[in-house]
Amino acid sequence: MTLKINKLTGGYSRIPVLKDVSFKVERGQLVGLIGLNGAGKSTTINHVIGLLVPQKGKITINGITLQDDPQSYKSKIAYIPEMPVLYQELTLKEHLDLTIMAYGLDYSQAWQRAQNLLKTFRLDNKLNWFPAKFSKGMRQKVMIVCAFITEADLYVVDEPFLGLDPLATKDLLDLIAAEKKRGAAILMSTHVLATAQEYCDYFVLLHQGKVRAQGDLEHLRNLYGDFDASLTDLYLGMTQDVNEDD
Amino acid sequence: MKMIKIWEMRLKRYQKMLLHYSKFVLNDHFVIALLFFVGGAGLTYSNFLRTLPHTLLWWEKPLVLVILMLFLQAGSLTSLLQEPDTVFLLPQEYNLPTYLKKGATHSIIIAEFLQVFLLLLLFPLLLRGLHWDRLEVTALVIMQLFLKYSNVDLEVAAAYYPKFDSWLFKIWYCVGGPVLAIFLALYANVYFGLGAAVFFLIIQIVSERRSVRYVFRWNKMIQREKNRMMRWYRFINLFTDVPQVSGKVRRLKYFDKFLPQPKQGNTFYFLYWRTFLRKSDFSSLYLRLTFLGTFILLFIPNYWLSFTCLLLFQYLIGFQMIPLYFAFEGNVFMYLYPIEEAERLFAFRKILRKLLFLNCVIFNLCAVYATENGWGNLLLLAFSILEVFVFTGNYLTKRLRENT
Repeated sequence: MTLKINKLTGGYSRIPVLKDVSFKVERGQLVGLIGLNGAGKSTTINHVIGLLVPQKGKITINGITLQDDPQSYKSKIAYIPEMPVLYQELTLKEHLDLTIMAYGLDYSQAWQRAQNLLKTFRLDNKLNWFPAKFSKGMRQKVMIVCAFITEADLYVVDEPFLGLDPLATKDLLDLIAAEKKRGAAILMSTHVLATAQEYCDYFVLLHQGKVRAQGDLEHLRNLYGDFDASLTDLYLGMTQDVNEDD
Repeated sequence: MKMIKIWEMRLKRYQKMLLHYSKFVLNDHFVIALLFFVGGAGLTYSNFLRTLPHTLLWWEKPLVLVILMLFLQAGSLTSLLQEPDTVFLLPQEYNLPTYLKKGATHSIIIAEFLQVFLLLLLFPLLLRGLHWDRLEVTALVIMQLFLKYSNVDLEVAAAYYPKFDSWLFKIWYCVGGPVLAIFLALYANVYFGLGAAVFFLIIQIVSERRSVRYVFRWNKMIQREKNRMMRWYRFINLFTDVPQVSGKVRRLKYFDKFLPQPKQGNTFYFLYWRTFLRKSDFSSLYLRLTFLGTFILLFIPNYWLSFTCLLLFQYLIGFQMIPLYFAFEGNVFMYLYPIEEAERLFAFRKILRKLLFLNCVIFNLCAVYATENGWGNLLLLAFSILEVFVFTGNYLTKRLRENT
């Protein structure tokens, strides 16, 4: 399973936000999409999940674009949005039922997984509640459970840590590690750089809609010329000298 | 000076908003339904007046009293205050009375016009039923105008005098006073009633003057204005989507066992039924329209009128349910689910068909009961079934395509 973004130019209007963005997410790899507010992280994600149409370039999952076969493309993705998106009128149980139906999962197997996840995130006693009324952190957990029962090939995760308590953050990272081991590809956008440095295998540094640098931590340190630099140092250093170029 | 400017700007924007939405409310379907309704109601009213004997019936005066009290409820203070005002307009608080005065004048003019219009509808009953002459009717109108004036004036007073907002005061000024005045007008002499209304207004104004003035009650007034605007929005929301109204969601656990269970390929069927039931936008609108239709059909003995109304109501209900299809437009998962659009349309069509068939059965039973027209009823049944199929068939596909 590989997500391949090739020379993507795109955005919301005629004026492109992203310019010539290329990177790959391989099987069993966690790729961190790093950038300031407005750098183009969410725009990239919206292109990957198919909400936006590329103006130039191509996005493929295992060689298939969204236009080739929408159903197969979409069935490979599980998405966790930055702001939880829930149905006001469905209970937690019904959210899971709906996800199972929408992705055509095996009912009993998926529920088995769901039970475990619900227990992990301490939601197992809230099955008959409306999650739309939960707190931000709890709603985020519902999104995580719904995404992870699908056992998708590609996870697209947008800023997952905001609003999560430390225990849930750790549980999420464990979950991501397990899915990696299973062979899933994971694309995660974040600006919690310390966590990203610790867990991501590969980094894509976005700045002003362009890929400023990409590679693993060692590669980035090499580029920057400082072998003790943290991801924060690297990111700030690299984006600042771009600013000076302008 | 500035506060007057703010009022004028807000009034302009408010009127623009109402004008904008009136396009949706007065759409062709609604106007046609309204014409039928007004025609039917007018006919019933005039027939009813013709049956009244020359002697006074015992219930006529109490009925007029109740109607007059209901009329008095129409129209209230339009202050156009908004929530951020507590922060932004705080430094202008000393200028608020000029602002409020503008609002009160505007509200009173509108409310009094509304009174006159409503009372015009009552004229035939007063003249033919109560056998009053024109002078007496005019006096009654003036009395109502005074009562309504006191009513709005009290709302303005409540902005500064909390005691005018207490239950005791409200019961006396909004119920006790008016009932007494109307009672005098109906049972003693209409001029006594007029005198009483004027007298009550004078008492009210004098007692306002003598009360201790408090600071402006921001929260109360803003809450009131918000409630008033919500009434508008909820009404408009029957016809088109209003961003300020997102219908209430209720759990209604009792109905869980009647809802479709999760099953492969049933995604949208599962989702739409739950949304329909639990979101009051849809279920209570459906219920209201069904009740209204049932009620109207039960009272139409004329076959052809019944025929038209039945088909019209079925169409209206179907039409009002179309927004259910778009209920999740803003939800990104609608695009992410690996499901074909056709499944969604199929599920929606199935649900709409069931709902409309339920209407079809209920309405036809009502029509049979009211018209008793053997073969005619059978014809109507056939036509209404045909309508459901056409509506949920090509027509629906076309409508949905136009909307996207």
